[in-house]
Amino acid sequence: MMVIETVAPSEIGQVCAAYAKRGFRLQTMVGTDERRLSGAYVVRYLFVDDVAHETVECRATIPADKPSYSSATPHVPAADWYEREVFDLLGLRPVGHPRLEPLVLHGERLGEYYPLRKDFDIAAELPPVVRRVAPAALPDGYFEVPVGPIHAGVIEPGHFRFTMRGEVVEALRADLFYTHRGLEKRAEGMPLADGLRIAEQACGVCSVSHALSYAQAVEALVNIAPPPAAGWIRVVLAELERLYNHVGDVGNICAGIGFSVGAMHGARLKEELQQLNDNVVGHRFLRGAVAVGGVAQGLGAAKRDQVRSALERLTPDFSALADVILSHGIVCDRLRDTGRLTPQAAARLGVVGPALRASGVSRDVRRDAPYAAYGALSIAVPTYPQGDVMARLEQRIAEFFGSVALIQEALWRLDSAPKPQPADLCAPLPSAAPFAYGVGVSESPRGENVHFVMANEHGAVERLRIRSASYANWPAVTSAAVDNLIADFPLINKSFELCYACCDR
Amino acid sequence: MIELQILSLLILAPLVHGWIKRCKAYLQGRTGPSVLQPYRDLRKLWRKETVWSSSATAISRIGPQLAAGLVVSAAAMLPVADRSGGWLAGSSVFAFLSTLALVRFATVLVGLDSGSAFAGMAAGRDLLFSLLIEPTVFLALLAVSLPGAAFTFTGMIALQQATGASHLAMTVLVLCTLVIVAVTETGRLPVDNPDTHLELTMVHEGMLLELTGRQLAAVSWSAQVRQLLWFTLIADVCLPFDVGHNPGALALGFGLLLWAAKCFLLATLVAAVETGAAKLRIFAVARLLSFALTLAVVAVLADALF
Repeated sequence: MMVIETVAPSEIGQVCAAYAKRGFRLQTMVGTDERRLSGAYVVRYLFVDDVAHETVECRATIPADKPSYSSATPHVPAADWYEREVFDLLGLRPVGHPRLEPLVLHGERLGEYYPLRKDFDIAAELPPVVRRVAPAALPDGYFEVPVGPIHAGVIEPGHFRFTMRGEVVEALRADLFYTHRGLEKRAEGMPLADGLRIAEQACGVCSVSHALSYAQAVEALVNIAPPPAAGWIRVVLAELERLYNHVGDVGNICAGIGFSVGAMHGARLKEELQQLNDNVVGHRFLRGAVAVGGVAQGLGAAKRDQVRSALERLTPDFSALADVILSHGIVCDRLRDTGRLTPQAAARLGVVGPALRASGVSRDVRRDAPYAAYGALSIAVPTYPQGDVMARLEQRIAEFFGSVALIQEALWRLDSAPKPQPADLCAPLPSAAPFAYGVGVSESPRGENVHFVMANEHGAVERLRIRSASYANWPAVTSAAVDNLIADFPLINKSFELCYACCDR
Repeated sequence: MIELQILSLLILAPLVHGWIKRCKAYLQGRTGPSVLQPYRDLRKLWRKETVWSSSATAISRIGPQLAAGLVVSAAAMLPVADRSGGWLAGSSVFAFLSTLALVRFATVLVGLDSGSAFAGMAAGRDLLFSLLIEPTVFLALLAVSLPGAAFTFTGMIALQQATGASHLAMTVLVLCTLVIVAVTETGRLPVDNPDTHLELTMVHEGMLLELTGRQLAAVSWSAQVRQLLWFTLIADVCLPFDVGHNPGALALGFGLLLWAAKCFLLATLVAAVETGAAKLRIFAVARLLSFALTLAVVAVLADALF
């Protein structure tokens, strides 16, 4: 049930503050250029109450000749990035925003170049952005450590600037968006069904979740529901994605402290799970498996057996690996109390996914707003209260076993259903009403992925806004690193294991 | 024949490094690079162009060569398979450890000179560890030389060969101490991770991040020699069998083979320790090193009391 509240641009900040005060959390915020329809821009803040299962859309129509609105960030800190991004890409100024630095662009704003405005041609050249780094004025005993954007390992680019006092991090600033590919702009004008190909490539390792969020947004937009068999297959796909991610993350945390036994076995198990993905779906990252309206391919009895036997083999292995990791003295010493994220900070920053649950907050989209066939399953949501690296590791280990159980249940349901015909796998896509929009939410291995899709008058994509879990969680990494040893930062970073590409889009 | 022994040590150092890498790979279920890879890496670096950090001064240019020269001098002080005289500085422990300290000094200067924040942090950590480890080394070696009062390696070897069996407890304690010292000094887990790409966590590698070409080759090679020197020191002090006095050609050859076997054995042990360990928190390294210091103190006491 979505409540829509339309307010004046000068009041939207206050209205958002009121919802935040009532216990709603900001799920996403989207700016759209609707000048063709109404001669104005629109900003939409989506607030949800996870307990009462309520969703509220606060909307302000912003006249094209005065593109500004009152910022919600002073009252809703989680709105910080969204509002800066809307200013960078659409040129709508959030009045009263405390730190209106460029987010997507580094260094300087380009003036009248706003790529997400409809009159901006995607092929147009942008002027070069000059990045000026002034030496920071620091008190005695403090120094700065700049890291990246190019890193020594094969990882994505991001610039981190640590303010240090001895070995201790006093402040950290992360400049991301080096992998901004303009996916949202590119999707505009594509047929709704094809936009999925863009959406699922937002992220390398959360393809299924992004595809699901997009497909669900479109399904909500045209008001269809995927067939039941497709729902069960979607569950299997989403959980297979969680398995290989969580196993890989557990191994990566070990690599962050040079614990090679854990790192190598984590890498091996992840590889075996990805080979299973390849055998079952034809893609190691499970791409191309989800379709708008259902799934692109079935999951025959032979493939179901393949999944089952692989899980029977790998689950005891992972269990043994978890025991080795959790009983290692040095490993436990390094992980405990490191990179602590308090539940209060997590709530303030709008953190999602395992990172939130490892700070003791029980929230999981699969249980709270079920999609696919999750509504028919009982979802256990383990939580760990400590909020440190150890808790995030244990969280992933616990969720691994939960996912295995869900896959087994879903496979069993598919076993007992009659063999599906092609029509049982994917519902036909009716034409969309002009400027109708839908929101799709799914729980990726990193947390909630939210896609906002609006159709245009030809039934194609008018606006796509991808809010990945990484986008929501990056501010938490910089917050959790403060007061830790700088040598622990790689470990803290890996315990969140956020993606740069789906944050930057 | 001392030249032959020094030369064998200098030439064999990269092989020992490659051996550790290979053992670690095997223990981790990987194939790993060939044991000859360190030689290939050195050859590659030697042929490469040198790029300088914009803040580099003459220190960056001469520091690496200085470090390489100093490890050669240190190698000339440590007996390999001959405990007779003729070693540089009379194989004095003070001279040897001071030379290694100078190598560290040169490396730290090179790191600081690059102006990189990583190198500066790494240099700070390296100096912290050296501060904690140096008294331990002296104490451990003092325990060995206390009964005979000869603070030279040749003297210690002779003493250990003559009376080592009756000082077994002390020898074992010194061995444990020196293994911890060697792990720290060679930048290995659980103190430093030689295989990491995470600059923020580096100690030894961090100081070399801005070096390229021949300078990097020189520092890498001197680190490999330094590693083999520590293994040799442990072999000399704790396992001194068959280090002959003025050996003939055949005995010397046999002695060299046995020395190499002892060093590869220690290298294998280090690889096993590294595989089972994770990296300690930087400030928890002090705990490990004070444990080593305690072992050394007990070794001295074991000497004095029994």
